[in-house]
Amino acid sequence: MKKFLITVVAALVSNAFFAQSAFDKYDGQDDVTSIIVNKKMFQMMGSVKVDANDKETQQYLDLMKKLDNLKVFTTTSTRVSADMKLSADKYIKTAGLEELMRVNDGGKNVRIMVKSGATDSQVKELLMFIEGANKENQTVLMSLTGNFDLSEISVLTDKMKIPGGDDLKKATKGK
Amino acid sequence: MGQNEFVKLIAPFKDKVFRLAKRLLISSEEAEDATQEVLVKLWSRNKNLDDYNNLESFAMTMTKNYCLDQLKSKRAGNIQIVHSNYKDREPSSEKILEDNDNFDWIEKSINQLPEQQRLIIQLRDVEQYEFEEIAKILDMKETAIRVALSRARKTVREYMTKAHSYGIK
Amino acid sequence: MESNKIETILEKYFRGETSIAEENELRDYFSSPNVSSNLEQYKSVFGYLAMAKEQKFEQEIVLKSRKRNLAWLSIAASVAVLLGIGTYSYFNYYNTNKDQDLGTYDDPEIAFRETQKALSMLSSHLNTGIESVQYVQEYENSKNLIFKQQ
Repeated sequence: MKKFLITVVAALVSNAFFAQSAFDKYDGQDDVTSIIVNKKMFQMMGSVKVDANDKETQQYLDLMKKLDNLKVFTTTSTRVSADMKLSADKYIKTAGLEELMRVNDGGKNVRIMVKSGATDSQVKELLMFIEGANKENQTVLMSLTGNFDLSEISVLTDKMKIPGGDDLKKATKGK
Repeated sequence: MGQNEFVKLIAPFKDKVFRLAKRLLISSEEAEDATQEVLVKLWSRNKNLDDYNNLESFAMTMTKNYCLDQLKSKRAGNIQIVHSNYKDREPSSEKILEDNDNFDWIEKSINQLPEQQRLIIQLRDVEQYEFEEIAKILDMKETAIRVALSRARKTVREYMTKAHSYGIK
Repeated sequence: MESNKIETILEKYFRGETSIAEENELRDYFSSPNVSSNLEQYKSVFGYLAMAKEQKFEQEIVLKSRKRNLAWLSIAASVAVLLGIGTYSYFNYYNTNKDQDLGTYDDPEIAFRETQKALSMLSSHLNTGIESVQYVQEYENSKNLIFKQQ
């Protein structure tokens, strides 16, 4: 019994550690392309000078100032893809992420999960998982943490597509 | 390990523990209490039980130590138990006793031996342990054990000869 | 078994020199009906020893559970403490580590570009989803218009 208890303690303690580093194992793996940007880097970016006319870049920068951590892992290996799916599912459960949307677009399976912050539209954490992204069956796992608004993300690419910004706001809030 | 597993583990030697306790403490009641104590102590070492090569030896050693301590403290409290209770009220052993008087007599003679000799008679003549095992349980050299055993057996023989000559078979 | 042989073994017995096998021979002899008269006095001794081995411990073993609960309480308490300390220190450790590390890129410009790429991908997917909601809304709106007209 004592052994069991010690294992439980170890598991729970390591779980706390696990929380943010669930996907770190993919960093450095052969079949995985990883992009990791930490808070310190985001802070450094704040000092990057931007052309006043370049509103787009400014939008990106403004959002990045609100980010803590970005992790993107991409792989075409089926083994890693399966592993990523498992890790993601497990992480979603333990971290208490809610599904925001699921899009199935021509073989591409996109899931976006969020953890709300202070208000409904504020997001503390976002996880995007894409299966079968290209012809090569690419899997993408993206984790984004910080304190930002979904509309701030949406606005980055929205200029071309959707008519009527008001409806957009409505849709964002109505998640 | 669960309680069920433990009970199975001690099943082969719990009777030996009881018999040894009875040989030392004479009274069945006290022997029963002692046996419970020893088994509970073993249970409390639950997680370490797998470490013991010979759990039986260990249990017998525990029994010996516990009973000798009991006897020591009884002596300190000035209670003589050696002579008072050689006949115990347990009906079960009477069932097995074929020759009541004779066996009572022999039991009495053995129980009057000094503790160490009693121990050795019990372990060798009743439980039939090898000398090697007895040496482990009692932490004594084999030669010393044989000497004590010889002495004990001779004493019993004398007792028997005496009883015989008095006409008590 | 001849009584002479038995007497030899018996002598060994009283010197404490017999093996268990020999002692069993004695037991067997003395439990048989053919014990010679001069050895009769030993009959009951060996009979007794055999009988004594039959005694059993009949009681149910009482494994005290209350004592265990107290032990468990202290274990539970120490587990709780360990958990608290462990969680705290791990969080601390992880956070401090995080702060030192910039990520996969050293150059802020590159990091920016990569982040931009990632965010734009996220953004477009997000918008795809929102679009569909939006289209539904559009449909609702037009539907209402049509019906209202009627």
